[in-house]
Amino acid sequence: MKNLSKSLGIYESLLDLYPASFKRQYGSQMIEAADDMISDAAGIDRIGVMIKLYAELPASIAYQRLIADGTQIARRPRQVVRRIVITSLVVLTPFFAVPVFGYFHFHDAYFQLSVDRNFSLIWQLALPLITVYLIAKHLIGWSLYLRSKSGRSNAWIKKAWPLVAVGLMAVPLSLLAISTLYSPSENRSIVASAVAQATSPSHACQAFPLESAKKLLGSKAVMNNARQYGSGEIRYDGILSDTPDEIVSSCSYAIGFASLIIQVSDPKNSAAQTAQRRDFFTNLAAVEEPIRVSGYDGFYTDPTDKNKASNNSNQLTELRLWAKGRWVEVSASSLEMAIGAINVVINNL
Amino acid sequence: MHNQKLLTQVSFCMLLALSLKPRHGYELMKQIEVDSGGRIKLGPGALYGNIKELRQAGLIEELSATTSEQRRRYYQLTAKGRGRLQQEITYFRETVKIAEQRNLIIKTNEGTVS
Repeated sequence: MKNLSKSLGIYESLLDLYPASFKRQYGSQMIEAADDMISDAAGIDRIGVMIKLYAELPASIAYQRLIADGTQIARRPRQVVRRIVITSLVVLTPFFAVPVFGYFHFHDAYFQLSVDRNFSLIWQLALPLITVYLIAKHLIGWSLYLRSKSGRSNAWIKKAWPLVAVGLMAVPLSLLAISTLYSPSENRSIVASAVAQATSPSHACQAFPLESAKKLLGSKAVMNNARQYGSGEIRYDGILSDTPDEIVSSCSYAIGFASLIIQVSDPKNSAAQTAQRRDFFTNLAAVEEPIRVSGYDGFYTDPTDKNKASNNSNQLTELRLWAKGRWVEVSASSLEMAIGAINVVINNL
Repeated sequence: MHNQKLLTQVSFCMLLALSLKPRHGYELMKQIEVDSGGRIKLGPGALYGNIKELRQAGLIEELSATTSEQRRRYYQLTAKGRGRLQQEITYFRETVKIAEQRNLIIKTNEGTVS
């Protein structure tokens, strides 16, 4: 390595990204060849040679790593499968544990972890993607290994790697985009939303189990509250971080009386926006019995909201429904909370 | 031959380049470039990736170093590799013959074909 330039030091360290066996066998020879290439080039051509040296590395490293994975599967299938399963379990444990924990322990931490949009976008979506990546790379590696073993060319993947890389990046980005566009009032991820709705009656109120709500509302303490406070309008002022348990138990003493207002507001929400939306929903308010729990979608889309994307996250959803002979009004900072709250109220009137 | 997959262009050129004498990596790269008329320019990553595959297939082998200080590793064709190269050349020859029969090869004034 007589002419090894400083820039080849970086090249040499990048060779560490190759599988260890490949680097051990060919690493020093690659540096030797790279050094020869640079030495033979004159003047400005050296820059071209350097660019070429670095440009071929990503595809070459990715290919050798895939082949190494494929070789491992072919040689020690049980060991590799066991490793994939264990890694996947470790990675997916928090993904499932958080909603399960939330189901049994209604706690603010669960709300922060699984529903808070910024956090869930990053880690909850990433966990299953890591698992899919692990499995996919081994399967692709295995198929490349088999093709190579049978003398078939794998040149296509060496050429198509930028396309594959863009495609792989596009999957999580598309999921994020879809979750942002179609999530009704919060920019939470699809995965977080789906898991939360399926597993947590407390926080994802579209799947609010009426049985657990009735149990709460039908308790002796609740009825005592109702007798004690009498009829009239009861207003609960909470903030977004309150758990639905706190909201429901605080409001439950109004069940069975003239009207109920559950006001769950987001501190960031402006008064002007709140007033605008209240007027809009009030005009749509008259709904006759029977009220279908799943039939409220139309009320949560605010056509006066010209700038939906920016207002999606913090808008106050207000529902005022005529149900079972009385007005029930719910204001909540998210669609899910409003649906959950109004379901509880209506079913216990 | 009929059941055997054709070598990739790069693998074929590598066997062809090693058919004259054993060569080390950089020599091999340059010879491939010359033999392919500048069409195939390999970098070290692609070169040694292909060397690894050809070695695993038993078509080439590494020469053992003559001295302990010798850093460069030389590669040479194995008997299997030479046979495989012959098979490929035979295939190409037959292909050219078919092309001639179909008048697809035009003879130029210099006597070469294009």
